[in-house]
Amino acid sequence: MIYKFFSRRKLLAVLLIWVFLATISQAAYELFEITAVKVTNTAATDVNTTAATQFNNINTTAVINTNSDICTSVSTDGVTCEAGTYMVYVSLYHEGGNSRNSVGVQVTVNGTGTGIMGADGFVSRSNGHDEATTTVSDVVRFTTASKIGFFTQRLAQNGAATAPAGQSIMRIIRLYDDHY
Amino acid sequence: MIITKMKIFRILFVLILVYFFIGERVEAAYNPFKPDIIKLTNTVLNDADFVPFQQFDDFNTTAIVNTDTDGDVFTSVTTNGVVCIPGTYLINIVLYQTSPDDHTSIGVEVTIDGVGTGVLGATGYIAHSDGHNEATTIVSDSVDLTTTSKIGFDLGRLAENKSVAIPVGKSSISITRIKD
Repeated sequence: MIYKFFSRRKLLAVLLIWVFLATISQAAYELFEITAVKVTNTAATDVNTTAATQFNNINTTAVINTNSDICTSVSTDGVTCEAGTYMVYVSLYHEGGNSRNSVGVQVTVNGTGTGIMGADGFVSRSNGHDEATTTVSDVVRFTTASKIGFFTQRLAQNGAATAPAGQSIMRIIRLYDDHY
Repeated sequence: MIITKMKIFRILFVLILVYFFIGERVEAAYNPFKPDIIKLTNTVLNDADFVPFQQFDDFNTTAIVNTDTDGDVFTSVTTNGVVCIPGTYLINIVLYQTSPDDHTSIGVEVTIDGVGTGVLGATGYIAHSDGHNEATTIVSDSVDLTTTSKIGFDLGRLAENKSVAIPVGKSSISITRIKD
């Protein structure tokens, strides 16, 4: 009956249009997807340095990297990612040092701090209080491929504070595509 | 050229087919949900030692990051919060503080239209000895908004009755819309 209503040529044309638009729409679906990266650390002998020091003990084997075309490489001092807007979370576990030490953490893009300082890692070193985590959450945006990392810095008493292997993380989530 | 009723009927029939089989898909594809994110820093607050807690009223209204370029998600940025359309939001707050006094601690709580969610960040203890005169209070929360509402935070004293300053540009709130 449908052959009486439409010619075969017209049916073929409709079918071709459908395939063409479906392909386009599928591509549109795939334009953006969230990328997540999680890296841990190798052992750092001192994160309580007087000067701000780039954290250089990232384990280069990512625990999670959902898209290596976006976050293209993991080096000991950061993760290189394509242009975009990223939510970054750092949790730096540290222990030791002298009494009343406090380690600060700040997210960096290509080695430059964003200005938002994590300073919740106070260690009193009394009554067994020998360890703490410094955490910071930040959002960074860049329009060319850049390296996301963090620096550490002494905020109170001196003395070497260590960051044992595998007990700290940096999590990077790409929330927005800035290729425009 | 004579357009017969039959031709019009055929054209309408094709359009209906296109709409039902392709149109919705294309529409959905070109308007997929994307998370939007905004990050604000702060102007100076000379003393955050509030009892009871008070609304933080020192946001810099110029966002550091705002992926919502059309302004249809984060519709207004004020000194005490961001007006957001309905949706599910992830909120991260980093409140950096310094004090010339000992045993201070400032709590932070996300607010919706000025009402606290009940989740309290209390990581900002300052001993103020051996150089420990700064800290950050961190809190992360998520909220469902069913109507357009203002997201901000309140803060106040959790320990000693002493002065605590919030220096300019070192604290942030980031708000991510993760579901429509």
